[in-house]
Amino acid sequence: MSLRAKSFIKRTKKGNVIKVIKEHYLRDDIWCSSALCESCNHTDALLSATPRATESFRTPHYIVPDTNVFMNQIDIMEHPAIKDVIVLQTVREELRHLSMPIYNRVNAIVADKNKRFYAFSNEHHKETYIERMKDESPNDRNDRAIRVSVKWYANHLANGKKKAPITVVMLSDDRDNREKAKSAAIKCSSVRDYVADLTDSPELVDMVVSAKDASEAQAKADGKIEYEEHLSQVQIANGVKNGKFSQGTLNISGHNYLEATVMATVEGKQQNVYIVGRKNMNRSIQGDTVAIQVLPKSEWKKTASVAIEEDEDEATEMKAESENTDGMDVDNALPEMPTAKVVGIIRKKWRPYCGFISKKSIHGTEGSTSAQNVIFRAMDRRIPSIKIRTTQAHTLAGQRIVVAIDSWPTTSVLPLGHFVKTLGSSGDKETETEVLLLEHDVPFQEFSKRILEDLPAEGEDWVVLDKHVHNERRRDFRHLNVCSIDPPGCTDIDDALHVRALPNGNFEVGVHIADVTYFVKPGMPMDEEAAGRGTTVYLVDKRIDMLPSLLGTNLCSLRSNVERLAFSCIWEMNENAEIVNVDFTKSVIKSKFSFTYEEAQNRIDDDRMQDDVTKGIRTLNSFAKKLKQRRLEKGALTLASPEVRFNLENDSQDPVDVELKELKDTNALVEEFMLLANISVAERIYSKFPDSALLRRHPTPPDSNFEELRRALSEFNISLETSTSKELSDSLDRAVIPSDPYFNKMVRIMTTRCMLQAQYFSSGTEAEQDFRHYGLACPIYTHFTSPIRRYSDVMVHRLLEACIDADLTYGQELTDKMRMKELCDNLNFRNRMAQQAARSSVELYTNLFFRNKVVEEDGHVIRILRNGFVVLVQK
Amino acid sequence: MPYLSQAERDYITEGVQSDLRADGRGRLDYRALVLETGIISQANGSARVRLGDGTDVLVGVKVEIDQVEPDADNVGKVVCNVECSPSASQQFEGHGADDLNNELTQALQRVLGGPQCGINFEKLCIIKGQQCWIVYIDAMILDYSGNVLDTIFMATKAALFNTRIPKTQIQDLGDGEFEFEVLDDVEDAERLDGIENIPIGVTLNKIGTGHIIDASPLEELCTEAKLTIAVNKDSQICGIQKGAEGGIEPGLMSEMIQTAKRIGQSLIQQLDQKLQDEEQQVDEKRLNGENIEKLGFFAMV
Amino acid sequence: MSRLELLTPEGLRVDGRRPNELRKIIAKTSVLAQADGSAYIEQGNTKVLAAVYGPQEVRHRMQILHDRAIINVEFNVAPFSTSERKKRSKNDKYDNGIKLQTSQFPRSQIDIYLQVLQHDGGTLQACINAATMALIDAGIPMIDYVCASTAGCIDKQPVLDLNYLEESSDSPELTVAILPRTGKVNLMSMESRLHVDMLESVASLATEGCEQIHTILDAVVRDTTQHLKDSLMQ
Repeated sequence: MSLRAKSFIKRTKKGNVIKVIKEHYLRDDIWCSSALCESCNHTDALLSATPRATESFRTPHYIVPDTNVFMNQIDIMEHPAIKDVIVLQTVREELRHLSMPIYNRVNAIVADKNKRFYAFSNEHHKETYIERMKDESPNDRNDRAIRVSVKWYANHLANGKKKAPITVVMLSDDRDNREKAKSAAIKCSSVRDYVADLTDSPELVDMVVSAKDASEAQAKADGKIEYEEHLSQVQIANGVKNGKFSQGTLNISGHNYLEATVMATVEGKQQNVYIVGRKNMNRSIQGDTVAIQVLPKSEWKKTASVAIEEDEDEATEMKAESENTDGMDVDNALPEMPTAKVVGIIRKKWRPYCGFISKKSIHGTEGSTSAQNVIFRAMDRRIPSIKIRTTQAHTLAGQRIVVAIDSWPTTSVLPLGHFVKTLGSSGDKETETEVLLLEHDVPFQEFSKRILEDLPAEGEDWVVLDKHVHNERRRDFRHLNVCSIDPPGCTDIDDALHVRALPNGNFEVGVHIADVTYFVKPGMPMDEEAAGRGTTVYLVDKRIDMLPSLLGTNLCSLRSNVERLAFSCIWEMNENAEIVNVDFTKSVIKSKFSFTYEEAQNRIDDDRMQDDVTKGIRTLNSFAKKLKQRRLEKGALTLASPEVRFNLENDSQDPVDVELKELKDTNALVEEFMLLANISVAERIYSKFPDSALLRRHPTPPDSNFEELRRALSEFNISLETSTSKELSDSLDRAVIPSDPYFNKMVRIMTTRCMLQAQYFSSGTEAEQDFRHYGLACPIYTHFTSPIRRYSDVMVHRLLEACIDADLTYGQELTDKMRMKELCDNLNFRNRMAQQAARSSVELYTNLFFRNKVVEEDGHVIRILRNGFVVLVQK
Repeated sequence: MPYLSQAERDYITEGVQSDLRADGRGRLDYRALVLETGIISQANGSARVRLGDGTDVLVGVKVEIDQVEPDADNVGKVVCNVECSPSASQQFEGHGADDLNNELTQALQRVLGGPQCGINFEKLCIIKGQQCWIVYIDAMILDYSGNVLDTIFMATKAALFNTRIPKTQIQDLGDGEFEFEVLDDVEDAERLDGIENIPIGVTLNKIGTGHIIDASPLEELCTEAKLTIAVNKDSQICGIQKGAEGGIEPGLMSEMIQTAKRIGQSLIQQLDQKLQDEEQQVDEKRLNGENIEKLGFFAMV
Repeated sequence: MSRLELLTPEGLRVDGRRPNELRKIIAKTSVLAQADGSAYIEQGNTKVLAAVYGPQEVRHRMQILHDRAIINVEFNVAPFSTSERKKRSKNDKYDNGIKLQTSQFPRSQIDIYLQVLQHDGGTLQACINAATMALIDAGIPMIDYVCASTAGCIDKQPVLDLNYLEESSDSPELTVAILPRTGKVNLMSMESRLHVDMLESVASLATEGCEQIHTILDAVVRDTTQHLKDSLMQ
């Protein structure tokens, strides 16, 4: 090995400047990983012995893309047709500095052995490392490093013992780089030319992102400027610092794509600031972190609640642009809201969008395959239309497709993008479900082989053995009358309960939770996958599992009459349901019954049933009522959200009926004990891990959230007190109109919409007074009871196990508060997405249900827009 | 404390008189000198000078960003610090070197801290009224065999020659506000302005009626009076420091100053030559994209 | 700020080493004129100078031990040794467990001065190795070399000889010093959390590193003393 030094200058957080020196070792044991090569010592060669050959490059070859190819054409690189690619270290390192999302996507491709992308450490290879020359820019040096590696590969493969007819082709969209390569006799091609030869995948051509073309410069020269230039990052940072600008996340109205709000600090107050019109939004897209400048008060708008659908073709698009938003006259009674314009985008939140091609924008005759510009409209109404160029316009009509944005120059009204893939025809249930999963970023692919390998080898035959009972400090609860109560058809049973009288007159109440962490150990691929998924997603017709179903619906599921491993929370309670003592233990249980809510309710109600199990449920039920009573007294909220249930036809899975979910006493029974277990566990893990306990908080909603509701209620002379949850709860109880029995429920539904989202967080990142759960009115809370379907609970199980088992060894995953914070951020995101996906699924089925159907029902108007209204239908 | 007998003292004094010193040198002969720059890679500049078989000085230069002084808002600063490591002498253990450290630091700071050193302090200011560079010069005495101060001066001049200040780019934020960015590329870093004017020190020791340069430890013990004169390449005197107990006759004084100017000039010429040769070699290698392998510490001992 | 990739998918570390490889070591003895023994060692970019004085008379009579020599260690960090300049700091927190035949020198004192010139991780191990070399250079009889090495753990993979970047990215670091001939462990020090399951593999990797270092240091000593041997043979 020989040694080189690399140095660069870095500014520390404190603002100081340091020179960083890194050693850089060059090796002679980095192999080429070609299956044909005999001179290298690699085992498990990744690159195939028979890679693709094309019309222009008739020798079978591997592909070496340069950095910009990955940066701009990552969708093409992810396409299954692209295989046998060498990813140079130089390229990977450049990508890491340029874009973390792209870097992560490239890493994901490299990890996928089927794609055969080989990460070659050219920077540490003795023969491919190059020293930067004097007066050579770092970029030029890296381009040269890429060419040197390509050349090395070409020579290396040519000199192999077999004299294999195999070579390498460099892909680069940089003409200068290609010229230099050609003069060094390196085979190279632009991406567009290369994929044009891949005739078996014609869609690839549509996916090519064109480099910033001359037309843009031309348009600029012609003075055809649609938008103001964005300010530089430094100007923005400074402006934010000195208060000239504010920063926040752009949130476009679901009703009107030309109206957005940004939660930002304006005039020293955290408030919603309006951005109205295309010009003022200045090319920012839903979710972007933007810098805004508040407009003079004379230009402030009133809340202009107008429902606007985007017009269909480009011509009107332009018109809408010129009209701007002047046409929106507004209710003068409303107060003026601070209004601002976007001066720069701090972080773009671009992602691939699902949607369809606007039919009106397609030109030419059916079957024509000449390239044309068409308008793509995203399913997410908050996303602007995107202009794409495609050769398959006619084939794509009526299809759901995925499109990515490439750029949005100041000269173009609409952002420019490219086609990524086709999902299927619109209106098709499968396709639409895939669309909504993609739109909510739900990972829904099958579990990979690597993940399934983590399952117990016994498969379905896995049983509880003596060793589980004796060697693992498990308590044996198999003799207890444990039972579970769940919705009908539930197969992933997380929790079960038991109660028994103790000799001292108190009761022992146990909550038993599936011991998922027995099977899912930190660091195994299954664990990483589950952490990434975060939660099981429930759609109307299907469930996207967080864990493989062998665990979820079988080995972990606490089914009746099967011995199962559990994590138990055992309380000693007196007859007033007050906790005397709490204990946590791993255990073995054998559930006696799996009830549905209805069955359990029937048992309670049926006086003839006097067996131990039924008596137990009655005891639990009475305890639950006491617990609930106490909770409500402390100010816990009873809110409502309309939960819809579809009855699906068995074969076609088409909805045949729709109803709102009904709640029974027994729902509350289970819920009460789960809440109690969660609180007990939260206290315990926080005491042991003050910095890194995973907890759940529900922040107090700001008063402003209630304003609209308060105004609406004032019409009925009902006041709403919101300063504490107790006051809110009391005023909700008073919000009754005798003539309308549904009114109170409706107010509760609307109150739910004023709430903030509950969030997971790491205890070290928030002050203790902010741990409160507003809705449940308790000072500390977490999730412990559903480890099969929520990753947060898996983590909490691990934390709790570390609390009760002094000998347990654990790593930083439990103690590093920043890691815990990152995990929480992901779980919060996944959770939100899962909820939205579920809601969209309901919407989809509601639409399917009402398609070509007229149904008459009573409804309440809950919000009036300028040109529309929102109705809540009760059934 | 090393102790010198009268016989030794006489031997040395007579040696100076007859222009033949104990190690065979004449009065105005310098010992052989080994020089190497850029060996502390994490520093912005560094140099090591080994004089004869004994005195070894390592100088590291680091630059930091700081707020400008309110009364001098358009200049940067140079801050010197000298430390004697106990590896050079057991006397330096613990706080044993504190007095000497102070004395040497002061001597260096007096010459390099002000405009007399020739560095363009205004160029060290990044944004007027806001930030400037502070150049920290840290000298370490690793081994000791006389004439430390002169060695420190030479090592410092070499280290400053080797120093590159990261390049900054100033951005106008409008409203009279400025912000700057530091370029992360080492290649963009620039040399200090006025580096060629930096003086070196020549110490003359008066022994008996004669004076010598580059004194050995024993000669230092016999020294009645010493005079350190800082001289730059144009023979300008940039500082004078008189040391030790004895006095110097006015006639001898001006003779010593003349000697210092002459010796200083030739030393600067030799030093500059060495530095330029070294740099040229590095540049040639760089031009061909070759690796620049530094010899590393003590490679040349 | 993007999190650093400490181990690439190909299994290389940030500087291109594999997990079980040491950094480049350069060692030299007799580098100073004044000291009785001296040594200079570079382990990667960590550079340490050691000087040994003695055995000699004990300076503070109070400290005299009647059956063996006392050992005094002073540790000093150069202000430019770290990436951010440090104000002068002196301490002697490292008792580096040097194994000398101290009983041969009753009522005397041996001083070891350590000077860190550049810090890039693993200062303790470099100091121990430098001190060993300086003591050998001073001709003080020793039972054996004391060779030190560090090992840590990145993504559950034990790695040898951490550099500063790896050290500062929250990886645990264990320093081990052994007497290579007997394999006895002389020093084991860790100031971070490490999963107990990993301890054994990390410790054995560090021990392996010590043995590699022994081979390197021994070669240096034999090389520099060759001329003595030659002159004896004549």
